[in-house]
Formats: sequence, C-alpha cells, structure tokens
Amino acid sequence: MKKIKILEYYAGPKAKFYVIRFLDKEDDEFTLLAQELIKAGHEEKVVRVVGQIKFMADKTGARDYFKDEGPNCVFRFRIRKNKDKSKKKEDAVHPARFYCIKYGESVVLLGGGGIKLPGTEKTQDQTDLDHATKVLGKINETLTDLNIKGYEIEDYINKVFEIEGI
Amino acid sequence: MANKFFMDLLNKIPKRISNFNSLSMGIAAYIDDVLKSRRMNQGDLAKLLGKKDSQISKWLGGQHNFTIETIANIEAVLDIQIIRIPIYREDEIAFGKKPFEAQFRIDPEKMVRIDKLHPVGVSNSQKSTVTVNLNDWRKLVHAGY
Repeated sequence: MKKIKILEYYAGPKAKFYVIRFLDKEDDEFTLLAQELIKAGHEEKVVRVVGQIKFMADKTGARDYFKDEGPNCVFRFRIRKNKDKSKKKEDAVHPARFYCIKYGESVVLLGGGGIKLPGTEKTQDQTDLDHATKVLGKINETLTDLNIKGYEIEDYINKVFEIEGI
Repeated sequence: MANKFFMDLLNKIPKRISNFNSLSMGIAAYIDDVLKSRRMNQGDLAKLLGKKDSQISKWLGGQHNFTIETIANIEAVLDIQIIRIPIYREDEIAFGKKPFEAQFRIDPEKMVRIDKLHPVGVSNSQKSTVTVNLNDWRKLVHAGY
C-alpha cells in the first residue's frame, strides 16, 4: 500500500490540472517524469506537453486531445513524432508517454509515464509504462470507491489517500 | 498557485511550438464545437469527407499538422470558415459566412432541446425560442444540455 497526495498543478478557466505525489518521493510523478525526459534529451517533447496543458486549461478544456489507454479513465497525451530527418532515428521512434486520468473536459490528474521503446507493441509489454498506467488505474478506483467525482477533486487537495495494490 | 517547475517550462516554450499548439488545438476545438452544435459526431464528418473515423480522430487530437487542402475540404463540407486571413478572406464574411447560431426551445426551468439551426437574421416569433451565439452554445454543451 502506498500513500499519495493530490496537488494542484495548473488551473485555468477551462480546465484544472492536478498531479499525484507519492509521500515517499521527492516530487510529483509528472515533474519527475518531465525532469527524467529533459535529462535524456527530450526537452522539446516536455515543453510541447506543457504548452498543451496551458492551452487546454486556458482556452479549450481537455477535449479529445488524448489517446485512450483503456479502462479506469486513463489516457495519454498525444505527442507529435519528430519528422526532422536530420535527427537521430531513435528520436523519431521513441515517443514519450505522459499518462493521466481525465474526468470530462475540465479535470485532469497528471501521472507518470516514460519512453516507449522500439519493439514495444503494447503499453503492458513495457514495465515502466505498464506500472504508470496501473498506478493511475488504482488511484481512479480509490477515488471511485470513495465516491469522489472528478469535479470534487479540488476539495481533496493535500489530503492523504492510501492506495492499495501498488 | 501554478507549480514553479511548470511555470519555468512555460517560459521556455519556443514561439513556433506555442503557435503550433494554438493553431492545431484551436482548429480541432472549433471543428469539435461545430460538430457538437449540429449534433454530429466524428463519424458523420468522416462520411462527409470520405475518410476513416480514425483519420478524423487524429485531426481532432490537437497535434495534427493540417494541410491547406484538408482545411479547405472541412470548410466546404461544414460550410464554415476556419481560417481568417486579414484582407484576403474578409470578403467571405461579407458574402454570407456569418457567425454560427443555434436556436433552441427553453422551458421556464431549463433548456430542453435543440430545434434547428439557423444563420443570423432568421426571425422566430415564438416566445419560448431564443437565439444564442456560438460561445453560449459551448457553455450549454459543456453543461450537458
């Protein structure tokens, strides 16, 4: 069992973005992932996602800008592949995966993710990606069991949740 | 209060990326608004354009690099103007591409349904019918009506 907090990340008139922080980690999952990807040379991908978050929060809401990752309201950001032929081939085939839980168009809970490696067909085939989606799935189950709706999450900021099964 | 790491990254976004996001995501959102206001779905748009549903889903995913031809085709089948260019496309507004409006019935308690859609200027003498602009329509759709 793990303990987490939900923290506000960025709020705009159209959508609010929250992050998940495990109490035994130094930062929230989204920030840790972003820092890891920046270190690995994928800063542009991180910056694109940050720009998308701001645009959704301020202008459009969290619409169909995500790919559905199956049950439990887990989604991932759509990130353009780098088609610049001058870049290394690895850069074009290692798309970053930022996973989240989306509640309608106005609430998004940002989670972790990673880099999908070549040869990985499904998320479940890669341990870190599979773990990231399962964690979010468990969190969604916990919120559902507690009868907390997406739009009510702001009432639970900084409260500690115990998540079973991770 | 916004996260500091997030705000620092925002300051690093190159203009070309923020422009791309606002264009691609903005176009996707506008098409989505029009479809919802007409009670159409992505599959309906796919049929009008002779495309697969998956292609429309990619277009409305907010990261698509639209070609001029694609935008022209979407504008044509939906009879809307997605891109406005100062001077060179302003004539189309004068020639009838007016702001999109929806008419719907209201009961005293809440909005009931959409009756039909009309361009600006169509009169309706029924007391229970109100014409709203597209911004109001978005609020209604997001509120679940």
